[in-house]
Amino acid sequence: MADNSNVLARFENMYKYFGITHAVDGVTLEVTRGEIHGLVGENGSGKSTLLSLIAGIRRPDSGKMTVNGQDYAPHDNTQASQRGVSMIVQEINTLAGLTVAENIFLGQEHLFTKYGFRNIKKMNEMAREYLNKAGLDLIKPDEEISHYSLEQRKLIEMVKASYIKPELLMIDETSTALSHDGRDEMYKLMKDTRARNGSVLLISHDLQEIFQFCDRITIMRDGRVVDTVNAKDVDEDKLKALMVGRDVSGHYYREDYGTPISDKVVLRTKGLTCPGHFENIDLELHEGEILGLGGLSESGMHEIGRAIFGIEYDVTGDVIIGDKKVEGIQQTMHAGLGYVSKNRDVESLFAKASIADNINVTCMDKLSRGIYLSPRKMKKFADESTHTLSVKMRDVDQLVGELSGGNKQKVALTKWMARGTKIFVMDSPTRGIDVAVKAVIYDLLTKLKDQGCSMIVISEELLELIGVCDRILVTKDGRIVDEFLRSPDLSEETIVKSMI
Amino acid sequence: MDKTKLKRIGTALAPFLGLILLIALFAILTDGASIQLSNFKLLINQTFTLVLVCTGVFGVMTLGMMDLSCGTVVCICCFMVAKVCQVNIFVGLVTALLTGIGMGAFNGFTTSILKMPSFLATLCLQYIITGLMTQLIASAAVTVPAELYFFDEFWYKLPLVLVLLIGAYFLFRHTKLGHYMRMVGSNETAAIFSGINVRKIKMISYTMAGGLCAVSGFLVAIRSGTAAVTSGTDMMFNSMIALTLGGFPNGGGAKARFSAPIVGSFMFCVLNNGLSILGVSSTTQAFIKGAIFLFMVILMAENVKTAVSSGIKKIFGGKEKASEIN
Repeated sequence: MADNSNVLARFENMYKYFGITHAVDGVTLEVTRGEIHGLVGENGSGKSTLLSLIAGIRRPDSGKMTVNGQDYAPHDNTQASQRGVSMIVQEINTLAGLTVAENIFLGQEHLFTKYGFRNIKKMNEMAREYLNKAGLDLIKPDEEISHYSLEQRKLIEMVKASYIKPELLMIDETSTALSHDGRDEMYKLMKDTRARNGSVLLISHDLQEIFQFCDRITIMRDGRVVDTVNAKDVDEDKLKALMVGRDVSGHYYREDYGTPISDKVVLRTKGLTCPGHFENIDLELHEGEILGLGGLSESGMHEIGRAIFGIEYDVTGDVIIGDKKVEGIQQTMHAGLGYVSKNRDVESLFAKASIADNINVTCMDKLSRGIYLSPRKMKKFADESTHTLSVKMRDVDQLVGELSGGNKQKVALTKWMARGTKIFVMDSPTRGIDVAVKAVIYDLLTKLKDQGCSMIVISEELLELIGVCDRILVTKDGRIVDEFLRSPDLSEETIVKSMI
Repeated sequence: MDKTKLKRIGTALAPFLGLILLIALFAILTDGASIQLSNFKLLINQTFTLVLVCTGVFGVMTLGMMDLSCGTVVCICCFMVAKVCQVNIFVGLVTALLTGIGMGAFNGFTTSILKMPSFLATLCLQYIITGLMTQLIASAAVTVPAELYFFDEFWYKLPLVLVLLIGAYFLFRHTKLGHYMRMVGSNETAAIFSGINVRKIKMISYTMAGGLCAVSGFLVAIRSGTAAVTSGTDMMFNSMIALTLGGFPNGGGAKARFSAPIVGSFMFCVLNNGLSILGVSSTTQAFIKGAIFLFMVILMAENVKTAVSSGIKKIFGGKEKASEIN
């Protein structure tokens, strides 16, 4: 077994079914010491499920796992971390109501417990030490965790995953929740682990990130491993082709430059202010324009989007659509504006309702004759609406919760398009979506633009903004600090400079 | 594709099938006594009060909320009919109706404007009314004026109840209100983000539930002839059992079907009636109903369904493609 001495972990013939879905369907994967191993694939290809099996969050239906040459079958993630395996999950995984230190040492309380009593002071001191090491000097160990923002909580999770000095660190699509600083922290953690001769398994939809850090890349599709390649041997197009199983052209952003924008202003804000989030926002959206809002996630840009739609509390200042001042969601919608939330599953969609229900919900006024609604007409309407974006589904009676992330987003967009919305506010429209659907959405943005619709696209992905927007506003600390016009020479670095 | 369609039809028809099975079961157990025409008429007569409350509660529960006060609202409306009708029949009936609507609106106010959890808010109202009724009905039950008895006639009550039910069905299935109710029930936040005035929907649902409870209270009054502290109060628990029997999904939402209150309350009454013919004591009846309720709640739970269906698949070794879902 001399040639295997460099193998840290081996996972053989892993299976996991959810009902009739074969989430992980016979995967074999080998992780060598001192490598950052990328795991890529479309939504629903089984990447996250595979990692959750390794981390002990879920139990595999069958399969053999070895770590350091010994059998490994964790019952939960505490057992996994005792074997040097830890994971940062995609969702927020901190427990509200507990303090920062309690969250960090969750499942490890025995470190501070003597005669059944927990030494909280010692725990807080230790937490302080680890937080400082990670450069999080401002976070207090004894503060309740829900007082911190999502990003900070994510960073605390990183501290939690790293203080045990894991041999195998797994990161599931975390960078989308982080700002640039946070990402740097994550990259540092990955590199440290590699330097210790440990290994990292990284899931990311951001292929640049994958290429920048990974030594080897495993591509998954439909619960199976398609191939494992050396990062040096492939390029982005090749990787995309492997992910979706067919050729994908390298450009999926629009390619026109210098197209004139109409002078007609369809939406303007005047002195829009929300204490604690943003101040004095004056912006103008022209007809047929794609306006980008970029910045760090804490910069207030998400809240600006929400305030325009009329859902943020304590907002002063005016939102004017056309020449009418609007207030509250109903008025805003009536004036022709639609909002696609960043938090798709909670705020945009009804997971336990059918696709038809989800689409029709904003179109009731259009569908009803007097007060009468015809169920048949509603079904037909939904059926026709889904064709525009070719939602992959059984039929419109299928539950939205059963769809994959990308298809869910298509439904969320269709819901507003079917209504005849003229102005869209889209918050992170491609968040957690695979390349194939991303391309569809970028395509749609251009199409909507051609139809004279105007859009505000809020995103942390600067390349995306550069790729699709006519104009980009940069927000920082709740203010608009810079403006860039669409140009082939616009680079990410330029924008980053004004962001921070 | 056909398979999923079949499954959907199956889910929709299951409560009806349950009803037929239940009727058949009692027909055998009682040697046909339960399916005599006279008994059937009696059965439907017994269903009237429950089905109205059930329909009201159905609306509220579709929103994912609860109405624990419905039984006592029936009680106070029953009391209003008995008491105020002694002065003037017309005024009495209107007072009763307004009381019901007012109680419902109060529930709507506490849950949607004050944002109290519906479980607590309606429980509080239940206690308030019970306290009030104990005060009002000090010692003996109040007798309903004899002039009202003429209405306690099957062929008068049937059209009244039918009209109300058809109206409710129309509202639920063919208007914005009904669809919005289902959507609020399946995800309140997304409903707000879709421009639905959730407060208004909650307010209307509770108010309508109150109104239906008032009509039910009227029927209880003329049927029993008296208004006591306990009149109609068993309706709270009975309506919940009936709804689950009728296949109402736990937690409400988009899958709520209007057949649930209708089939459910009929099933409940068949059960009640059958057990009575068999001479089962009321304490044993309570035990049986509680057990059935628990069983139905477990059966309706989503995770149990998945567990059962995947278990069946494992036993029969059926394999389906993952692509069917993705």
